[in-house]
Amino acid sequence: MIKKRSSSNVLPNTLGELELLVMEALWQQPHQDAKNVCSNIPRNRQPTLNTVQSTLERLYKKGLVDRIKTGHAYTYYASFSRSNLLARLMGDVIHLLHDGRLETILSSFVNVAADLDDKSLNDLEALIAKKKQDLGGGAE
Amino acid sequence: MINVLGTFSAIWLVLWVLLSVLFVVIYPVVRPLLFRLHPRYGSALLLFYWTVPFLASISSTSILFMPTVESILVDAHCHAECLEHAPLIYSNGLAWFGVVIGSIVFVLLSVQFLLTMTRSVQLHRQFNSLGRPLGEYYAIKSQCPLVFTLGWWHPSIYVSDGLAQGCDEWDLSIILLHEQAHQERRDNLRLLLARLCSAILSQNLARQMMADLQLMTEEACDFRAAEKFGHIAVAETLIKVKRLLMAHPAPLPMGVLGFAEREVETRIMALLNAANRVSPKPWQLVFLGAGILLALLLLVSPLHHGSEWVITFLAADVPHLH
Repeated sequence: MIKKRSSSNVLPNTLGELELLVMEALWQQPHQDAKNVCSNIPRNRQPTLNTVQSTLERLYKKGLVDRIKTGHAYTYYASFSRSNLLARLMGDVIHLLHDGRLETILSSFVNVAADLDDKSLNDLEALIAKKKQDLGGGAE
Repeated sequence: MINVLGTFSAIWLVLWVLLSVLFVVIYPVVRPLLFRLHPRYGSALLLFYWTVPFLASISSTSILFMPTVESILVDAHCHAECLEHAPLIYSNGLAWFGVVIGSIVFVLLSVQFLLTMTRSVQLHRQFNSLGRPLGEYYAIKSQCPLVFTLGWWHPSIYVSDGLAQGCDEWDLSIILLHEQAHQERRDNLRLLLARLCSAILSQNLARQMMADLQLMTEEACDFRAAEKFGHIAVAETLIKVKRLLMAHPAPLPMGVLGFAEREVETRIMALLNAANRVSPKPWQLVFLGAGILLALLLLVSPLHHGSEWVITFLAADVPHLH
């Protein structure tokens, strides 16, 4: 029986270290109970079973994992793939870059705004070609 | 203790505001001069320019509260009963005002710093965990053609699969060299420093200042990559990446960024006209540094008298420290 979560509209861009470790364990091997998830987390960063259980509950509420009740326990699986999570994170980065909230955290090679049209880019390319010609076939 | 702390805060804050206003007013004159320099120097001087109001106000106020240094820089004078005083005459009201306002500024700056740091650490951890380490960068499984450097002390470079697939090896080498320049220069930390030191500026002015600093920083990294690959090759790569990004549905509509619009165009023009950018000679930089130090020292005496005039004006019953 699949139990529906009550709230699933929380952005996954606030995943903590432990949440990422739990997601990693579920991506590696889906349909695990909390005990298995706990044992699949690297030993040097292994939390207690209770902590893993509450982390799974949090991830379930965030809509990143789903669960099936088997007997008295739940088995969990990732409902959000690694690439989906990354794509969502990249989307957040792009939006945060736009409104300047990431300006002191990251530098991107070119800005992500569609601030130049094709004609402007063509004009710039023509300028570069002319400069190249002036310099003698590309050598600077 | 409260008197010293409060008076210090009040003088520092008033001076910070006044210097910031002065630097905003003269910026239109200084800006074209800075943009005529090689971006390596231009970006450093621009960062310095926007941190001067904060640094100068805090250092000159500190000097004002060091009796030994202050006695050399401020001529002997006396007030009312002509008692010796150090560092300043004070007023209880002003001291408490300084403590309250100083605490508010300190808390706001700390909160801004901590929030930014938390966001940075979260993003760093998530991208490191979800990305694949490939030597000097992390590969990100995303079709959005994006490359960026994230972090302050130990920044990492992230390259999306969309970008790696859309570029050839030559372009990727240029992009990586540009991003490595960000890493070595710790540009994100510089931008953070500028943002905190100019926290007193209005949102609009701060955005314009940050946009200029970001532009100059990007130009500095473009020029670093151009040292190895040539200015034209870097300009061509910029166009190629911009086209890749424009072809992807992710970019937001024109006009969202405001001041940073047409950044790529400005950078390409800077690369094509690189020969016009001037590199200052070492003696010129030494001369500039000495001039600033001298100005700072000369500021102490008028600051002392000005502060005492304000304190006397604000409080009729001014007691002395001695």
